[in-house]
Amino acid sequence: MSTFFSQGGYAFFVWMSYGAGLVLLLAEVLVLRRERRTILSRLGRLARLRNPDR
Amino acid sequence: MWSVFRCILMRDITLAMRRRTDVMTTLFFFLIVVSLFPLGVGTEKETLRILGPGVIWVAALLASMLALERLFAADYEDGTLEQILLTAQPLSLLVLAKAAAHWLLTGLPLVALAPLVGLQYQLPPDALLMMVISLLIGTPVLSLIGGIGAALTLGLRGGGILLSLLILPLYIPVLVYGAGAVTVSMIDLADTQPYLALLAAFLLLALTLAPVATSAALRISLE
Amino acid sequence: MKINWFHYSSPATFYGLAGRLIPWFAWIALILTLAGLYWGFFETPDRLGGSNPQKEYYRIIFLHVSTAWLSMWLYLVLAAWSAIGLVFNTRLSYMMARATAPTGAIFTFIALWTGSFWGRTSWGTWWDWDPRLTSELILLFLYIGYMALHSAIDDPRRGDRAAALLALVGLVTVPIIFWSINCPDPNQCAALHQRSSLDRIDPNILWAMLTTTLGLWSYSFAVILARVRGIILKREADSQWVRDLVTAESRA
Repeated sequence: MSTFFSQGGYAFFVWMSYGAGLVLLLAEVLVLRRERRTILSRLGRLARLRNPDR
Repeated sequence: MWSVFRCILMRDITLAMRRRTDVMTTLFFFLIVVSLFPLGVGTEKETLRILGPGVIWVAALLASMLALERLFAADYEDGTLEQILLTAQPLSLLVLAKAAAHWLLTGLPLVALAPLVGLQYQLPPDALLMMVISLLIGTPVLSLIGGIGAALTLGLRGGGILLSLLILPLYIPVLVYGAGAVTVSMIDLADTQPYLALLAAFLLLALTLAPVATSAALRISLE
Repeated sequence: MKINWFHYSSPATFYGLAGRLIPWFAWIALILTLAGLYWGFFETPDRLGGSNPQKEYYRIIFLHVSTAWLSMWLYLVLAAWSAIGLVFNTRLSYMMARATAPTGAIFTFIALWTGSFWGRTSWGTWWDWDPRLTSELILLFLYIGYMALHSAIDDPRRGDRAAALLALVGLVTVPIIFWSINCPDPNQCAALHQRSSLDRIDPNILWAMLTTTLGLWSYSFAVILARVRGIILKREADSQWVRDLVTAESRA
């Protein structure tokens, strides 16, 4: 296992690369989820304004 | 067809001549940028000679780009552009005329100033000649391609900066071969031939395709 | 049975389809990417190459090459949707193009980032104006230009079409830009970047690379479909089906 993490001494380079990739792709997914929540809540508010629930 | 071309061309030039300061400021911008670099990187002859072609070309790019906003903006604001779009004349022809006017007012003066600026960078006579020729062939391409960007960003806030972001990547091939021609001319003048051939090819390509793209962009922006 | 080929070309119907497809693509992406990376890290030799082998750091290749290929592929996809939108005047095509751009840009950035780290170890430099690297950088500028133009224009219709035109102009110029950087001296051409040597690579490495690429490709499907759903909701907010959907969601 330790050989996996050290990657022959090049751990910094390999893990910085994959780390950045992981962070960015994860961020993309999380941002999309948050956007969806925002859109739905905003549109929900607008809909309720137009047709207040009786 | 030629009379339509000439009509728009003369109109643009006449209008620009009434605001001569606009034309002059572009040229002075070019001169200032070119003068800044030696102050920043040092005045060593050899350094200047190596940097010269690239710096002068980049400054020409930037100056040409700054003047692009004027290509359509004034006509857009007073409604003339809409009228131009409505005429029965082929829009590409009219766009070509505007681009030609832009080049005569911006590119050509740059070409004229190039030898002086080249001397500031200690370029040898062969390089000076190449500078003039490469700019002569290259600057029309800049005007033509720039027209596409100017048409796309018509009337937008932050238009100038956005325009540079869009257009500068497209300018790269002209820059590479234009500056390359001058650099190579300092080694062997004969080697510049393929560079000039490529630049001429770009010019032909731009002459045929850019007005079409610009017309499409104008129609999109003015709907 | 009569097939309506255009059934899903309306944002309303596509929204539902996209929603059903996303989990599939997401799972495929996860499985393939993890499998590819596992294969790449554990089932491959520690050295890459023959005469002057690269050491363990070459494993960056799995992420670097996949994202580089995808960054270029997604730009083609973007241009294709743009072309379809301009020709057929379909709203959804423009929305798909718009949804593709951020993912493409992210992949381009990752390719540049990982390439930089790989370059530091194998060439000894963080950055080199190598044709492929520089072209990748230009590609990033093209993506950003596309997104900037879109967000600068308020009118969605003008924004869609202007950005679509820009994407197509970019597509035409990318080969020219690449060749001009690749051959700055037409008398001779050279590059520091690895010449494509896919045929001489250890098959394990090659397969791991391809698996990771497919996994990330599936990821891009999932993410782009999710993004386009958001765009559809925003753009079609005034239509009845969106209002019904939103009220149903807020009650849930």
